[in-house]
Amino acid sequence: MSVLFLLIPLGLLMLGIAVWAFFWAVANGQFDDLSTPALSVVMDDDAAPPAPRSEDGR
Amino acid sequence: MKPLTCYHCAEPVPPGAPYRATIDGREEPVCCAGCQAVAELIHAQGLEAYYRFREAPSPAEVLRPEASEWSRYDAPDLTHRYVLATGDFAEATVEIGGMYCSACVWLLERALRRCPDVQVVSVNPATRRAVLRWRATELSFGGLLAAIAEVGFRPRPLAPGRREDAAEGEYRRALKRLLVAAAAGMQVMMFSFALYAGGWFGIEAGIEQFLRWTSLLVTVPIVTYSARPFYAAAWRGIRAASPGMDLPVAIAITAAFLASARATLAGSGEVWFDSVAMFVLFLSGTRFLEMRARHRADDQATALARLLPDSVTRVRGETDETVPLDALEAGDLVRVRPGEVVPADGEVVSGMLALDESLLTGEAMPCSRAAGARVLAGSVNRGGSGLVRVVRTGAETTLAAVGRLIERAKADRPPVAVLADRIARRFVPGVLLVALATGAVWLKLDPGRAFEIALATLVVTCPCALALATPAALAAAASALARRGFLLVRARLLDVLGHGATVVFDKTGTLTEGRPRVVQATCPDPDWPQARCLALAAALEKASGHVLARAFDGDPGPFRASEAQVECGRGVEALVDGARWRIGSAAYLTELCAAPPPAQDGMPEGCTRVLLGNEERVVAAFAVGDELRADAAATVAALEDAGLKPVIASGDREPAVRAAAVALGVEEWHSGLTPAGKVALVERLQARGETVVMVGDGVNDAPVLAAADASIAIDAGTALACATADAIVPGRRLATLLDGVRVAAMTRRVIRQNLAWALAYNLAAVPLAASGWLAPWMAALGMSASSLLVVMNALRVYRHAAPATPVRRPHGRALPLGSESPA
Repeated sequence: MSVLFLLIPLGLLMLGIAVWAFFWAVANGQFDDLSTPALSVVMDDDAAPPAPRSEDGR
Repeated sequence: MKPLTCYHCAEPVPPGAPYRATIDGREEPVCCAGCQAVAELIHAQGLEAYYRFREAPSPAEVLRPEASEWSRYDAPDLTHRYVLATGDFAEATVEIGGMYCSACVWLLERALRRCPDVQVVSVNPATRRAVLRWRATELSFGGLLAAIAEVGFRPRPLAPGRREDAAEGEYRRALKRLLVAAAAGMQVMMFSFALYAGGWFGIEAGIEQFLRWTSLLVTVPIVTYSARPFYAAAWRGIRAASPGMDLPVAIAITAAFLASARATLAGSGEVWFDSVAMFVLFLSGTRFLEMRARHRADDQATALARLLPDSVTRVRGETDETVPLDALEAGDLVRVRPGEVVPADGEVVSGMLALDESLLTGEAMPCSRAAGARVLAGSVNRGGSGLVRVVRTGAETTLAAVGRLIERAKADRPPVAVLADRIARRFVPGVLLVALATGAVWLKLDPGRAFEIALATLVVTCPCALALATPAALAAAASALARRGFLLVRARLLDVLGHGATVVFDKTGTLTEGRPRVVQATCPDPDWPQARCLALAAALEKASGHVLARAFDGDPGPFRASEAQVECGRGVEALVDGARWRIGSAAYLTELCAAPPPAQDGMPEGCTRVLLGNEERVVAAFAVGDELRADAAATVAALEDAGLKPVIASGDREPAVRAAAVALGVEEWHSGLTPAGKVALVERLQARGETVVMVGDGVNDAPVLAAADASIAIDAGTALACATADAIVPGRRLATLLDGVRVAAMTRRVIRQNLAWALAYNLAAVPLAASGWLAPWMAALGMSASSLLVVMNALRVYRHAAPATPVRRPHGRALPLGSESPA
């Protein structure tokens, strides 16, 4: 059972990473709109190449 | 044949409308020039996929401001206000009106990306906001807004730091707290299961200690981060000397955590980290849902304030200048062009406006306002242009008053809610005492379990559900009603408006349109057809201030009256084309002309007879009356079906009131009442033991509205001035009352269910917890589930009251047939 002494801290580490990622996503506005992005994939039109998108958009 | 619908906005195409959009060589029907332009533009840009992906038809954009309209945003003080300049680039947040679905977002993004100078576009349909970044050296702010308007949206720049930002911040913080509670809580639960299993089957002491230490570590963020709002609220309660339900919550969280931490440090004793985690998680979840509902309601209120433009065209002398809305003062002259919104309450000085006042009055048809007419801030000018003299601005406008009423409605609570709140507040010290007493008793019986049982009691008796039961239902009801054009001012109305109540209607302006109209016209002389008679009457009556004169406020056509003399209560005499004409009562006419007036058969009951003639003959006889509202009869019948008793109380003469009562099928009616007489009538009804809901238009009704158990003021303007009403129906739709009755009944039912559940739950759970049957985690689960149930039940009111008919969008409507549509 001593493997637990390794696995549980590893699990906590991953938890910490997940929480950090979530905080980043919330601060980045990823949770402000929950309906449009699901459709944006379908809506990309092939006729025109998408313009490059800058990173600092919210 | 199926009626033609517009290719772009899906509104019916008026028969004979000449508009066609040419798309891929095909001609598609569109309802107006605006839609035609938008549809052709969308296709010209290769954006037709929009029509495949959209979830809702586009709003009919009847009038789009010209491109020059947007250039006013290039004025330095306006640009400075909304635009943040960073080097060559400028950034601004713009609210996009008319954006309803994901396809709209797509359309906007695509259209903007084709502009080489626009660099960043992020669009959020939930908040209807777009963050734009563009090369300021190449493109002006106004130009950018014009580009957005070109695809059919209504851009509106947002000054930074508004209330929505606060709401967004609160939402984000709550979301983070909830996630930490959920993620860490799951870990703690996992360790707890291992510990429980270990308790049954045996566990290595080292691993047990390790798991307890890990649980402690993971619970720390829950207690110090996720639960922080509870401490803050508890502390506020203590400082205000009225401890709320957050106090026992905060005590339970800290006590359980500290005791568990001590047991972990000591290496022996029970730990309740799982209970702490679950308690915080479920409570945060409930609060999160409540917060979302609150934000939605706030949205409704701020939607009103958003209606006003940022900048207005002020006329000083001969010149037009663009100034920010704040700079506007009473007495200023403002030019209102087609498509613009009236920026302040005022009076038309010159010109003619076709105003859509639907947001304030619910009236769908634009009504024309000529010189001298009052206009309200927030009305959309659908056609024509004119000068308006500002009378009231900013917070003094009717629009702002409506906004304040909504705020007040949200803050007000009916007696049942006040009662529940008092119970909850009494409950809190009670909960603490019961928990202490339980702990004390168990300390004697079984000291080892005393803390655990006291904790379970504290958690399970927390009156959260009780405290949430009414406010949640009321908030849902108020916002559901506001969506249907029924503004709840004081929530006590919801208690009263229901089965068994007596609804006393004022007649004039409530059951009737409130303005006299020519109901019937008899014009026997072939030289004087009806239209000509009416035009002449209009010319004469322009001079008269009499109430009945408003019936003839039509176009005077070629006639010009001079030397007008008004004889009070009898009529008007004036010279028209050299002849002396009179309009007024039969006796007044007979003095001028001996010829017999035209016979008038079947004169409608309750109408006033008005004659028009010169010295030689009487050319027309009009029956002038106040027509019943179109939906009055149906509404009264439906109210009776719902178990309410309609009564008419009017200051009018008997025949008119009787005619109305007969037409509506109302059995009890009283005529010739003075305002004091109406109050006496209401008091008489109340003495009979009836609950009286007074419905009036608020003109002379203030005393009686106050005397009744609850009151509803109908129709805008005057009603808003009347602060005694419990609810205001600003529209012309009387049937809105039925929505009120329906929602009130549902709300009462839901509040009763909620209170019954909350009380029954608490009463049942206390003995269980006090006798040691409930582990703390079960108590936490039970309490939170109970609160959740209450909130979900309250949301039912909102869903139930969601309009059966689609919500009319304030702007999403085509002009009626025959109106001009300048493009």
